Amino acid sequence: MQGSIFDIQRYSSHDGPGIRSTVFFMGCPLRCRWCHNPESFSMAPGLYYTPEDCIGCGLCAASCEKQAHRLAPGHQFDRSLCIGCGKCAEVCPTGALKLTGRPHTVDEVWEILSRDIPFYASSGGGVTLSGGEVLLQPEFAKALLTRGKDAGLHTAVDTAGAVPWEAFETVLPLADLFLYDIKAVSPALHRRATGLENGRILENYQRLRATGVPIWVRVPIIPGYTDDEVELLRIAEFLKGQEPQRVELLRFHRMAESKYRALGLTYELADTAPPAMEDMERYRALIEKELNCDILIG
Amino acid sequence: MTMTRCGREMTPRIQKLKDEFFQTPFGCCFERAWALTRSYQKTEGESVALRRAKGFYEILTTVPLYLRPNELLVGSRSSGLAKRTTYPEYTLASNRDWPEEIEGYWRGKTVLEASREVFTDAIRDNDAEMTCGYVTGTGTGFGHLIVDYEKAIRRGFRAIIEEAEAGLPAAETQKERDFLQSVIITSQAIIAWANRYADLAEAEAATAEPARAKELLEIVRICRKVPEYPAETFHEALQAFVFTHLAVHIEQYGWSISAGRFDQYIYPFYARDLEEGRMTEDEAWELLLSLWMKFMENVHDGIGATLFQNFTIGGQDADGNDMSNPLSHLCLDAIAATRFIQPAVTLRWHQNIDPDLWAHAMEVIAQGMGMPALFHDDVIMAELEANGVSHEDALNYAIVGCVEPAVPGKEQAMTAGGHLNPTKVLELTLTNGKSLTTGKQLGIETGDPTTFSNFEEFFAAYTKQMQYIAGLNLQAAQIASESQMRLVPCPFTSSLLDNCIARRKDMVDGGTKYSLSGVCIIGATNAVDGMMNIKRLVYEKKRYTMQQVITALQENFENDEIMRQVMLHQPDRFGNDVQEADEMANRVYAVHAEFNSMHADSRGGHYTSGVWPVNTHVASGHHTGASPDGRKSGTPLVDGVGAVQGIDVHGPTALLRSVASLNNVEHWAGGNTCNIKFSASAVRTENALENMGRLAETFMRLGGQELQINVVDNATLLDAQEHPENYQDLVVRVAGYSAYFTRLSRDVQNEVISRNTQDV
Repeated sequence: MQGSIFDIQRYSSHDGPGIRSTVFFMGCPLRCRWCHNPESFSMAPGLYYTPEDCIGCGLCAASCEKQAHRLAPGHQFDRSLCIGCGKCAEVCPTGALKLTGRPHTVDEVWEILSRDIPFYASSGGGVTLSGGEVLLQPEFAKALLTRGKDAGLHTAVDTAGAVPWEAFETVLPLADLFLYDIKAVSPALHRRATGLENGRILENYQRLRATGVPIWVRVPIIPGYTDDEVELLRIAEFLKGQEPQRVELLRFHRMAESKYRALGLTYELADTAPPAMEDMERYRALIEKELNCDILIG
Repeated sequence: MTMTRCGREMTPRIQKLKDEFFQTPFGCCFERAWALTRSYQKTEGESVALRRAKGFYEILTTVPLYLRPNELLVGSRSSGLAKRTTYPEYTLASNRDWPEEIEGYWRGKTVLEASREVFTDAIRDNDAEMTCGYVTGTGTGFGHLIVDYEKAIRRGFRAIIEEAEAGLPAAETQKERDFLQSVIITSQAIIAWANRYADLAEAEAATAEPARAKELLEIVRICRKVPEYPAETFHEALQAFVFTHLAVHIEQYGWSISAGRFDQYIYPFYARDLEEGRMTEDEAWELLLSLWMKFMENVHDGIGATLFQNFTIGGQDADGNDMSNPLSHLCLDAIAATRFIQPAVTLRWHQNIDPDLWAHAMEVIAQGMGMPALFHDDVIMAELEANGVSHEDALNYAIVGCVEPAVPGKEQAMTAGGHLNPTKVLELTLTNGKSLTTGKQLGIETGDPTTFSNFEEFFAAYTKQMQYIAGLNLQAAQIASESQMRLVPCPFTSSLLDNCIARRKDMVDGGTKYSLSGVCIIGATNAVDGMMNIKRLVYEKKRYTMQQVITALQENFENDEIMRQVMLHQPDRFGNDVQEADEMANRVYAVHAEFNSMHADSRGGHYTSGVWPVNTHVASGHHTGASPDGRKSGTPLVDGVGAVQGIDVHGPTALLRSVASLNNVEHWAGGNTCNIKFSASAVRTENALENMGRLAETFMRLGGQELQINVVDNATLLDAQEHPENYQDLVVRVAGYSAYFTRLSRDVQNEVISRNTQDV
């Protein structure tokens, strides 16, 4: 079995307790305007191109069957011709061309995850599956989580919830923690922000909560979308009575900007400043009053 | 962040002393040089031991003294604040403005000249290009030691005079008698010096306002008592410590003269004064800050240039119990409160370390001072024991300078007994001995590498080349040892090192119980990665011929940037948790380590290897041609035993697994350093700090030796904006999201900087 993975980040410290490694799955049904991992939109590998790293050697042009790369005389890249075969990335000596991800076997991923077991063990950490949407590849997720549980590790699944409930059932017995994104409760706002309805997301949350598995709800605070007190109160209202272990308010950042450039995508929020820390504190205080759980700023 | 532990702040008194110090223009003081010259002119024809002792006496009894306004601890090496003390007997190269008479007297008599004169051309040439050599002790003192401060504090110099006198009847030679006599003279000198401070304070008290007069009279009382007699209070112990430490510096032109296990030998005084109500906690804190101020004031090369005076805290007893105490915590607080670059503080980690002390250390590290440095007891002790140190003495180890393990009060090591640059040696292997930067034949001819048929032949040539260069280095180290022996015995320092008095032998002659002389390795990882590239790209994948590689290096990759990029991006390089690269590191390091450890020094010990580049990796890089790790000619080498800058792309756990796999006990008894960087925003939460602590602890459990964690401040980030070429490897993390700082747009960089600010 193989799964599409775009990164394995070791010493990840924000995706659950302790020191962790996070596996980033490819493919996602949502298109959040602020997405930090645009390489995960599709399950098929794409190509990063970072012109600052290009030395104009032309090896890519020689390797490309589709003539997507040309030297004219500087490097010209026509992304519309690219089929993501990765031949150029293989010959590129500088890393200016890189595939966003590729299919991995369970063994391949586990070999890397297992290296940091001493670090997980000392810190109460473990392995987190994130993405993209992990639950678009539930069988691969299940296989990885099984390895993790067999090794006695803490396991977490980071999901946006926009998947059939059956996908949750596949991994449910193997996950010690769910990181669950709730971007908005209002359907119109959710559609505007992510391109998708949120009915299934909210419904899955309720079902997941009913199983009793620990959940950390994550609410991104995005200027122009979710930095809205009325909406935050709606989220609080939705969670009331079915609180997760904690709610994390994630402060918008633009660190993904360079990835958008490298993927030839437009980052709509490139000029959006992050919310002020005072505002974050205010939001936290606002929903803290409503909910019976820890509220953190992430 | 909740700062539960770092609560203590500067006091107004120390803040004022700090501000005044940093605002004082740096200057030069020739008083020591005048006094020494005067004395030497009078003692022509006497033995060197007596001349040195009498010179020391002349210095301590005549150099003008000063007191700083409102200071509680007194003492200085020079006649004014922020003035460098001068040591003409070691070198005249340190100053351009020597008074004519001093320069005239010492010209032709200095340690530097005595060493350089006997250097062979081969040593001279390699020393000039920093292939090897630049031995500490050719133009300076050995430094790099920890005297028995406890002896000075608890017994005092009156007892040391008696100890030396008691040894006289057994002395068999004039040399032995002279040594003991020199100890007596230097002990009398420090007693006289302290009494001069008492006189000065007494005079000032006469006109001071009442509160200060009271303090001054206490200083008078203390300076009349210590270091002549045993100290009994915390204040007395610290004053005895300051006098002793400064006197060691006055005797020799040394760096890295360190304090040893300060929290252990000072704590009883601290605890008793508190217990018996002689001192409040606030008073103790201000005295400790006063001590920190004294260490900051102690300078050679300017304000802000450290002397590497290291304090070691924590550690374990024979049963593995943690030995930390409230004073250990105060030392951590002093780092954060003063933000002084010296003293440096070392924390010993072991299996039973107090978790509260460890957490406190992480909070202090998060303040961005790079301190405390973290050392693994089991590894260091095993190294010392493997080199002949008893278990009992190994348990008491402390750190000298940056990272060099030593036995306090029992070791005169020459821990900086030369340097070796394996990357330059690799260069010489590729060129059949000829320097790429000057064209000189620096090495021996180990064969034309284009004729080698496999990697093993190449490695054998490297081994031969390294043995030749390492041999030159040890020749240089021996020459330095001999000139120290002949010209600059150190009776005062020897009186505080076992077993000098018992053996009636100065430390430079091998009087101490131990001598572990170290050779510092610069550019270790560049050589390892270069080896991996040659193995992979030339012999295995055959992507390049040896001739192509040599040509590209000769041309500094000017005509083959592709090859350079291939070398830079060859994935199997050290620091990425790649077993073969990690094994290559051990293989490369075994060559010089085995060579050094086979060779005896001139003080009854032998040589070890270590890595403490300080900033010599920049200067050595300047003399190193393009290297097969993809490094361009003249650019800096690696700064420790970690990954080459920007090459570790799998995060800190991967890097630390690689570094922990090094054969520390066999290869690195001279100490090594691994630096990792975090941005301030990555350690802002308590959870993140906890993880950082677990990361470091797990590294130790995996066999790591030393770790220095640098939390990057905004000054660094601002500099990275201006000079991105120097910061290609600077990773910043925001909310678990990592990015290369220099790749972010200006706007986003500013955002990272503003997030960083919130943490400080």
